[in-house]
Amino acid sequence: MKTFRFVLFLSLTTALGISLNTKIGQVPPLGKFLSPFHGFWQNAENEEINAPVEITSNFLTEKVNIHFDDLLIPHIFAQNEKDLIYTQGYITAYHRLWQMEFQLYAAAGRISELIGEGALTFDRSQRRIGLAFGAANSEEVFKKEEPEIYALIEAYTQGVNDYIETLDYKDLPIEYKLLDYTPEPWTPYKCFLLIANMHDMLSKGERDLEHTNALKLWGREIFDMLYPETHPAVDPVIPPGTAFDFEPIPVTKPDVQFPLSFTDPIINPPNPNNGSNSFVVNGNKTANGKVILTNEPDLNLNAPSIWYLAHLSSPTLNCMGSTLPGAPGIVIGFNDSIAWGNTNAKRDLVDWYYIQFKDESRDEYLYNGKWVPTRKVVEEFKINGGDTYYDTIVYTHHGPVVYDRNFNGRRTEITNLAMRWTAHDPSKELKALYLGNKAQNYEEFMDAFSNFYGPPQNYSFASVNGDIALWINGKFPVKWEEQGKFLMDGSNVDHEWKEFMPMEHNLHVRNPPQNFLSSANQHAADSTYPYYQYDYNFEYYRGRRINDRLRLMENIKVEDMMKLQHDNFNYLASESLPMMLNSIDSASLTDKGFEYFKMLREWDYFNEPDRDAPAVFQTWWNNLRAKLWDEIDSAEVSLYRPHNYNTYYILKNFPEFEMIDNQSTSAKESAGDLFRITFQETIDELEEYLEQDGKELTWYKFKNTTIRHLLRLDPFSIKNIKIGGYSSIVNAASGGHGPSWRMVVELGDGEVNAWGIYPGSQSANPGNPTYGHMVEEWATGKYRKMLFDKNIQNDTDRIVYSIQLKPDN
Amino acid sequence: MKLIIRIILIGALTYFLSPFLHWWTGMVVAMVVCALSPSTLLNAFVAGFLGVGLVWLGSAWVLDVANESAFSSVIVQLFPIEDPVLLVLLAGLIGGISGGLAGTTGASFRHIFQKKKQQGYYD
Repeated sequence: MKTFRFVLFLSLTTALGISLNTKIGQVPPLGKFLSPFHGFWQNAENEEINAPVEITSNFLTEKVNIHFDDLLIPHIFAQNEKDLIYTQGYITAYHRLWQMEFQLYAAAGRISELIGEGALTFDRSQRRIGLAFGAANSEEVFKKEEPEIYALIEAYTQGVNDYIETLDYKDLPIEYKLLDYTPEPWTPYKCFLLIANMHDMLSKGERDLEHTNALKLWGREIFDMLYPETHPAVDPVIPPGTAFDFEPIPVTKPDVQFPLSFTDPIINPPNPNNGSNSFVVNGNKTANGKVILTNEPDLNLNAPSIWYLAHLSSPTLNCMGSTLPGAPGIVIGFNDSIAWGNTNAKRDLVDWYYIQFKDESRDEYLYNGKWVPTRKVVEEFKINGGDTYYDTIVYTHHGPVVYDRNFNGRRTEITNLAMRWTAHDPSKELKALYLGNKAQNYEEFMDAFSNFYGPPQNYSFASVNGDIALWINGKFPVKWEEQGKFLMDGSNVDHEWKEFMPMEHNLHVRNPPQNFLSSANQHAADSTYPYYQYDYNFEYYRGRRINDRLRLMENIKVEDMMKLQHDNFNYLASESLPMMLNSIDSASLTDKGFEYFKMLREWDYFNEPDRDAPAVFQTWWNNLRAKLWDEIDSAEVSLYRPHNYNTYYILKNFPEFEMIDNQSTSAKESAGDLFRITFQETIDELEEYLEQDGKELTWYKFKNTTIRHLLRLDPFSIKNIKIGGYSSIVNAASGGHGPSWRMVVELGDGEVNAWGIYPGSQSANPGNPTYGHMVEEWATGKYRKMLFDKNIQNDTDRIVYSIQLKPDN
Repeated sequence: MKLIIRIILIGALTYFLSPFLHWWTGMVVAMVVCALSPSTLLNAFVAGFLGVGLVWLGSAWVLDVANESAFSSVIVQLFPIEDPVLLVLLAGLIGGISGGLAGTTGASFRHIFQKKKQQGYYD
């Protein structure tokens, strides 16, 4: 009896212990999580930094001093580069460990290990597009060919791992406790995976399969009308008139028939708004004769922020700027002599090849009239709370067969499509950054970033001796016209990429007569450029606005450049709205309708945060697009809507275009009818919207710019930020996307001065008092001066904490 | 009196050992203490409940006050409750129940080896 009683209590106690130690559904393990000695209470920080002031490490050869300034930017002073980069790894992990790891779980297609079955499709597509495959290829080559820089990547790795070693459960970032897992050791491979992840964000965008469907459905004439490659309005990155003094690699378009098979893409495209602005002016344009460079990458606004600021200093390197947590070195920044920024150089770098397998075994595929062997890789998915899932991925010489019988859209007919993507090829971006961090002049800058294969970037440059320049760096296949714009035949040699453009043929310009340079993801060059350049998603507005302004601006000061970064001019509205309003007969409007009409008529096209008109215009524009392109949205095959500029262009110049007519009515509608119908719809919609509690049209509230935590946890996110702008506006802050780091650097007279701000905080801990502390300043156009002084420790006003890392002897 | 001593003993051991060991340290402490000293099951439950529970409650409370509830008021939004004070109470309750049940288990273990209490010669 007593024994039975004991066993009963013991079982109950054990069961309780286990259930309090286990994550159940979304609920974290309550015992662990609520324990005051271990749980979330331990993540509540009362000081900005809680770290020992002295840390010993058996990796270091000399002492390293780290001074944190009032933004908690670490200024790392080391005696050699290995110690420096080791410490960068250590300190980055101190602030950002969970994010570093989590973003690579995503890149590697391992999220289902953390959150279960729900992420399996995402994970499978991540593995199928081969981010890990590309990262492994890069690491292999890098290790062999760049042993000295690889040793620095190992130092970074060691730094991260030495920090992880110091952690007990109680010290883990809160997200580990919520999801109930622990950090894995860092590896050099992960640094390469991070670069692959950048490719995923920036070079993967394409619409090849939708193009294939559209061409088959509508034929050539309508296809070209909907998706033209360029427009006369384009103001390219490389100023027209720039000479191209090289002999291009010849390429001739073979006599090809594209395989026109309906296919459904199911790989998520990256956010089409991913892009950036960078502009630079030389001494002829500025008030004090110095040069000024700005940059701001527009990406998803996440918490923790995508960027982490750092200042790295050793006898051979002194560089400051934004880093990507997980990669050594500075990504966007400046040193004693130069500054650089970059914007995404969009180009179609993913092409799809139709594959014919010999039989069900998929051991061989047809290529150039022969059966060629495939390679198969079995991927394992250890689903949290479920059975392990296995997926076989077949590789051809083109690349992985992403779409096949196990991974296909809603079509019954199975298509096998192999993906060719530059991100699969070995590359050396980390070398480019390392050399770029140390570059002292134009030649060294050029030499450094010629190693930057991808994702291709428009690199803007300014130097303390007054040079300004821009290089479009990347690995670009030499394509014949329309190569890869549609699904291609994987068995036909003529459909393949044969050669890549030599680096010296990449577009560039130095000290142009216009005295400024800019890039904002628009077309790279005008039609005199001898290579075929194509992307479905070139930007049409930000670049024109920036160039319009820079052409006019004189005696520029640093503040003027900051103001231009925050410019809220809505170019889209300035072109489209007059045309839309002209078709409205204001006499026929109701009082309410006239109020809206008047508001728009009086609007100056600036998307300031506290105005109503931007919300009305945006709603009208969205309704207009929805009505105009409803045939595209409702088609049985996957298609996509033409971009904003082309929408405007068609409505303006072809008001009788057949798609403008609403198929469901007997009357034949033209553009004017469409404007009138959608204006009324917009009024009705907004009036209904305003009847809801707490809803208003004030632009910033209406668009609700939010910095969202990577786990989409509301309490860790920052909502309703008071900022103007929108996508396609220079101040590109839209709902969850926008300027992720703003930098302005002034160079001249042997001096480099920089200012910056980003929407977030160095500390990723929602329990840190500084969490998100830069957001408000970021939104209101304020900047912080970057401390870039070798005698920084004496700046007692701005240094808030210092740590010394010491060798272990 | 014995109960109070036992509560203090469980509490002190939980308080000093927990930072270096697992979150379930209090459970082991309560179980061992109650297995080594004679008590009824109810008495053991109370000792474990209060010994571990009060230390959890008190420690969570001290941390929360020092932090001015800044972080607990963020975390509480992840739970279907509203007041961060409830998180302090919940911590105390979870510490208490796990300690209490473990204490009961400890006592019941001791009871296996305990002969039925015989009338002593001297009372």
